[in-house]
Amino acid sequence: MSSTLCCSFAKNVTLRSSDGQTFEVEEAAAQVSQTIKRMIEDGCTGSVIPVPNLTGPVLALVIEYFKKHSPPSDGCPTALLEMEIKDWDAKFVAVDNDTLLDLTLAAHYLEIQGLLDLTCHRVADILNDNSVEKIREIFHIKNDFTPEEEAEERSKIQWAFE
Amino acid sequence: MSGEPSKFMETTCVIQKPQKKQKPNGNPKCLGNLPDEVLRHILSFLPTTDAVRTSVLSRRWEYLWASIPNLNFGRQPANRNLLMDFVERALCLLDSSVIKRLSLSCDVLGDASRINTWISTAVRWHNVQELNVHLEKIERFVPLPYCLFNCKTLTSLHLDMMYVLKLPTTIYFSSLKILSIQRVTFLNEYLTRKLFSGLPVLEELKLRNCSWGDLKFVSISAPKLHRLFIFENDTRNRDFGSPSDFCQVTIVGDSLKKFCYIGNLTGEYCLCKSFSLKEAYMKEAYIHTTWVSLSERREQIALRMIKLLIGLSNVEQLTLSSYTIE
Repeated sequence: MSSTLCCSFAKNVTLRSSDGQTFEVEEAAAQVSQTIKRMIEDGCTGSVIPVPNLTGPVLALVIEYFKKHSPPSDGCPTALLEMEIKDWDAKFVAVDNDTLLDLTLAAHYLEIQGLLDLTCHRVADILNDNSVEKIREIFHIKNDFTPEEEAEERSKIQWAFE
Repeated sequence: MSGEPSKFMETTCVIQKPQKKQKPNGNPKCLGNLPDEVLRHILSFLPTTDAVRTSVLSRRWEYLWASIPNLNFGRQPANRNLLMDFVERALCLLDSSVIKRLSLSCDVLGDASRINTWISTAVRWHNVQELNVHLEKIERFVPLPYCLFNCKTLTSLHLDMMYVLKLPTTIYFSSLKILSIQRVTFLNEYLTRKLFSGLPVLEELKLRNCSWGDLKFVSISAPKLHRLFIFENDTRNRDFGSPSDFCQVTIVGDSLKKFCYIGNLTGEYCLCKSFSLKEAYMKEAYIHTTWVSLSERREQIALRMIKLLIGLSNVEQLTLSSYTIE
């Protein structure tokens, strides 16, 4: 209880990335992350919140997402705002594949369901649009089947390739 | 994620390190380095037929698709029989607790009984929670399995088929919160009323281009219904029965907050006890009618509109708009 009291006046929190960069962000916006929300509720906002699994550039992107998705101060979002956010989201995940994976992992660690859905959907679209060989190349997946094993795997689900 | 104990509970202020340590200096990221639950989440956005293709990527991916909670059969491959065999195997072999959502979108052709068996397997065996059924090219009439209409676990049902809806005599969806019915023609007045009164926890109802067939009186009565959408802007499914111009639809919605109607009022709608209604949207899509004169039709629509508006007397936000009359 006392911890809630100590941070009740703190409107901003500071987040520190794995490479030591710090970012100040509104507490309400940072609470888009369930992980950070819990930490704030547990009274961890006194100093800096370390986010050791995110590098500075990734954390900066995540904070952009926080800001766009922080709950509006005047209650529920209007339909127009929702549409605008949807457009913004689509542009937000139109990044290179490595960054996309970074963001996916960040959303997972920080428990940001909206961002996780967004990035996973984007990865799924890429999987859907490309051949097996191309997917391996795009996402650096090493094929550890022997040629015979792979042929067998493929024959089991031949219809999926037709 | 919600089921497992929080991995952050015992830590104080430090967010856990990733399980797989990433090497510095821009080591290329590998999709396979993501945790299983994230990969499953990714695969759950794909039609199952495409998710299955990932099993040949590498050993890590071989059986991953089989643990995704959503089965989504949509794309029709060239070899339909092989796909159907696969669906059957998937439904038989997958762990009964795995499937949360089943989406089936397919041409029925002569396989109605087979598809019905899938639905009953999902309902009886897998305790499916979300079911989306979209059926095209139905060749002969086979009613949907009756167990579907008494499913205790179902929370969301979307049914889209241009066909008559044959209902069983007992209907009770004890957990259903979202119901969406599309292009269906209702057949039996008594059973249709039973359907719309066997929804104790329903929050959202969408009726899209359904036909009331030759029913005369229907009552929709759901105590928890918050949102009701009725779209009747496409009346092409009039093959099964006469135009439903005489059906009176009474909506009893004690908790109704949002009501949306788009259509040409081919039925007579009336809202009762909708005291909590906050938002209503109505758009008339008048279409040229050949079977009554236009002026008569206009008058009928005006009267029906008034009836409907009376039920909206408590509404806070009302939007009305209309297309032009041909």
